[in-house]
This record gives sequence, structure tokens and C-alpha cells, in this order.
Amino acid sequence: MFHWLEKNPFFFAVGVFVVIAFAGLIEIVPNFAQASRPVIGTAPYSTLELAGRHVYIKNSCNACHSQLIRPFKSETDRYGHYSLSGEYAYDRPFLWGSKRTGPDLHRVGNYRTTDWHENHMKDPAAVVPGSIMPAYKWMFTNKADINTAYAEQLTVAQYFSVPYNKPVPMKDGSTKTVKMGASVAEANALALEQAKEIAADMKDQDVKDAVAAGEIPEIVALIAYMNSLK
Amino acid sequence: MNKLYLGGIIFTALMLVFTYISVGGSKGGLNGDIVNMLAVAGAVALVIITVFVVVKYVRQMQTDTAEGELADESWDNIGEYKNPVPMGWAIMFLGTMIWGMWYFIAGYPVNAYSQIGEYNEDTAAHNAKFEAQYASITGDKLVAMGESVFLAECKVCHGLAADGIDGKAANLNVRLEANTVKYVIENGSNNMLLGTEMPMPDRNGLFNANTGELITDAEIDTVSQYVANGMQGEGAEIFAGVCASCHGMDGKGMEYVAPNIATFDTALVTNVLNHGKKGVIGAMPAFDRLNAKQKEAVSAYITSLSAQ
Amino acid sequence: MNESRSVFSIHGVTGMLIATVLLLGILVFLSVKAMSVQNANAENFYQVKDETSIKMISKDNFANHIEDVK
Repeated sequence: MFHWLEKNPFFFAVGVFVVIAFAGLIEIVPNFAQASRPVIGTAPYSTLELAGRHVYIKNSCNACHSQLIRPFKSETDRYGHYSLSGEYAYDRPFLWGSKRTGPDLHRVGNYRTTDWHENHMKDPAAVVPGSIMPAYKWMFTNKADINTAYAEQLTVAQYFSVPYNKPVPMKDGSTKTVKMGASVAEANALALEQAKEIAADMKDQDVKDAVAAGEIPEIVALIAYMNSLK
Repeated sequence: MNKLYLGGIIFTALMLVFTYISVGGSKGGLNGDIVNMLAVAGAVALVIITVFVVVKYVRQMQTDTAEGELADESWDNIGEYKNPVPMGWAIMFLGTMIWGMWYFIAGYPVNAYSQIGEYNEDTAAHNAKFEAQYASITGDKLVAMGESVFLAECKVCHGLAADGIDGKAANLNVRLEANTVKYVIENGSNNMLLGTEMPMPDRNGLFNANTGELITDAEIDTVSQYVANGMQGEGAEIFAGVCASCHGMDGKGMEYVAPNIATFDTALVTNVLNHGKKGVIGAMPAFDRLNAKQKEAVSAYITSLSAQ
Repeated sequence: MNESRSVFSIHGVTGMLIATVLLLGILVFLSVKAMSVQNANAENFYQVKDETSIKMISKDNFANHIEDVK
């Protein structure tokens, strides 16, 4: 049979595809449905958080920071409870990362606060002695792209049935409803509402003024995203 | 002697000398460290094995002649010998298959192995070890443990010197600073410092028993200085009239009523670590992932900072 | 020597085209299927119950500790 395959490259190629596809199928398919389920307590991202996620991706934060806590004592001591597959159900794409030049951020919302992020993004070495993280000063002046974030919300709600405007169950038995605007204007208003809550905890007067004037600097969106990582 | 062998030996010698120089020249050399020794042993082995293998195959290319039984096929005049499977390769192949069967059936069985379960076992073993080693430590050792936890978890906000990095977080070298006291008197507080909901009223709920009136701006300033000074100086009578009914005459608090505002203590620090805190500086998140002993140690360390 | 070869035979460009289309077909089929599975499970919440008592090796782990949330 091998001689025959060697003499008939087309059927050899098809055979190779079938063998490789079979390996992939038995590895991926049986667990795919379970792996795409959300775990209790996982809520979709709000418009502002999603805009912050875009800032995170745009600045390649995931090149140095992972978002995946492995089930080892040394990791859970440092970063909190190990990650579960269901916590990433609404992450598109995943930001697991592959290398920790900086620490893991999957639960950074549990142990860092708005004002800390503000100080840290301005000058990391001032709060973390010896930190090699660069400063991200432009985030305090650049404006977050709320429209794109809203477009992504609409897309995932339509094509992946992500539950916006619907109650999702929380760990303590309550429910949480993440609102998505019905129009671009409403989405911007919702984002601004959340931005005002963040800005209230911030110290930078320029950022506070910008938010009061209806603009959302990238840093506000990024902090909203950081705080949502729990 | 063949030129090839000679080259191999010279190259090996050169690499070994180079290794010796680079290890000897680096700070501390081997330093009696097992990892350093393993690294050097690995480097030496790598050089010798590489040279040996390269020399063997280059030699084979120079001297080997093709012989043996040819297979039937001729691929555009390119033939193939019917060589047997090398013994070493065959043994490794079989060994891998046996290991694979053990892996799927006994080691990490499909449908029965859980990574969370393995984590639970590791954690239980680690906790037992921690318990055996550290459960009963006190005094300086406890403070040293507290310092190491502080440097891992707390220094990113409170700073290496626990001074709060220019107002970015609370200065833990003193129990309270005047602006914090003032803010709490003016705005009240509800920070679960006793472990339960026990709100302190804002200035509209704080009467001065001496005058029978609400606390005044001047009184707030004076008493804030008094508390920040470590319960010393001007303002003792205001403290006695306004604060002492809950916080005690010495400011050390009362159980179930009010927290200690004169010094740090274990209960206070543990409650802050459990519930977090929000005040004039900003919010502190909860650090409830520390275990009870670690919280006690952090308390001991923080208490020791302001005890001198 | 095999002389009856053609670039456009089933073992030439034509075959490679068919193989490519086959692969892309599988890709599209699996992608569509994956999307429908994700759609069906977007609100199908689960919870890990009593996670500290999960054993490293036990046939009951999945049945006893992974629960649907209604």
C-alpha cells in the first residue's frame, strides 16, 4: 500500500489530510462544547471595558503580560484563584499571552485599584522599584475609540449570542445585566457614564476635565478593563 | 594520527579552556551551587559529545562505501538500501509506546485525571508543611515573615519603606496622619475595620460632650493633630469629649464598637487585609488570599514599624 | 523511468487544487460548526462545585463537580 501511495501523490496528500484531521478531531471536538461554556460569574464586557481591551491589544500589553493563572500553588499565592476555561467564554480573541516579562493580569482587578493604575501607567518605576515597564503617557491624552468597541459588541451579540441586556448569573446567586446601547449615541452615553465613575477615583485633572467635557481618554477605558479582570 | 581527530581534540581542549576561563572569571565562580555545577557539567558534556558525533560522521563520509541489498524501486534512478531498523531506535520507539500506554491508562487516565485535583493535593501538602514549619513562630521571626510578605504584596503601593510613596498610599510608619483623621471625622467611615459593618457617623453625628454642640472646624483640626501625634499635645479634652466614648480614652478602641486609632494591632490589620479600605487617599483592595499566619505576620511587621 | 507524466494530471496541479479546495471545505465546515456550538453555549453557564474536594484521579470528578446553572 505504501508503494502505491508513493506512486500516487494526490491520494497520498489526501491520506495525510485525513490522518492529521482525525488526530485533530479526537483532540478538539469532544471537549469543544464544554470549553465554550461560560462559568458562573462571567459577564460580557461593557462598551468602555471593550474599548479598554482594544487599548490593551493596541499597545501589545499581552506581549509581556499573561492572563492565565495555572493551577500551581506558587501561582495562586501570587495571582489568586487559578483560571477556568469558562472565564474566557466572551474573550475574542483570548489574551492568554505566552511570556511573563511582567506579572499575570487575569485577576488584577482584585488587588489593584484605579488610582494605582493611574500612578503606574504614568511612571511604573515610581511605584514598583526597579520596574522595566515603560511609561504609557500618551494614554492620558489619546481618546478611546468607543464606536469600534460598540461595533464589536453588536457583532458578538449577533453572531455569538453574547448575552448583552440579559441577566447573567453571578457566584453569589444574584444576577448582573451588562447594558449595550441601542444606538451609537446611546453606547457613547453608557461608556461616558462608566468613565465618570472611574474618573471620580482618579487624580489627574486633565483626565477629569476631559471626562467632564464628554471625552474619554484611553487611560480611563484601560482602567475600566483592568478593574473588570477579576 | 588523522588530521580530523587532531582538529577535534584541539577544538575540545579550546572549548574546555574557554569554559574554565569564563566560569573562573565570573563573580564567585562555581560558588558551591548545585545549579552552577550542573550547568558547567552540561557545557562540558555538550562540547565532548558534539565533537565526538561530528568527528564520527565526517569520518564516515570520508571512508564509507555504499554496499548492501537494494530495494526494488528506482525513483528516477535513485535507489534505496534495505537497511534494518537500528536497535537503539527500536528500543526507544517501543519504550515510548509503553510509556504512552501507562500515561493514558494509569498515570493521567483519560476521563479521570483532574488538574484541579492535582492542585488540591499540592496545596494540601504545601499547607501542611507551612503549618509544621511556621504555625508557632512569634516575635522577630514573625516580623521577618511579615516583612517578606510586605515586600511581595504591599510594597507596590505602600513603598519599600512603607511610607506610602508620597501620598500614593497610607504611610504605615505612623498609625494615622492628620489629613486622614480629618477626612474621617468630616465624612464618617464604614470600612469594616472591626470585621463587621460598624459605621462611624460624619461630622453631623459627632457631638462634643464638653460643649454639648456638634464638633467645630477648629476642634476637628486640633483633634486631628492630636491623634496624628500619637495621642499627644493639644486636643486631649476634645478627644475625651468627642471620640473617647467609642475609641476609648487611650484611643485603643473597644471590642465590637470602634477600632484602635492609637496603634496598629493584629485585629485591625487583619480586618483591613480581609475587607480592603477606602479613604481620603484612595481605595485599598482586599488581600484575603493571604493565609491567617501571613496576615498575623504582616500585622506584626506593620506594628513594629511604628513601635520604635 | 516514468515518462507518462503531465503537469495537469490528478497528481499534478489539478490534484493540488482539489486537495486545497478539500482542505478549505473542511475548514469552512468546522468553522461554521464551531460558531453554532459557541452560539448554543453562550448562555449555558456551568459552575465548579466544591472544588477543594476534587481528586487528582477519580472517575466521578466530572459528574460530581461540574454543574449546570439554571
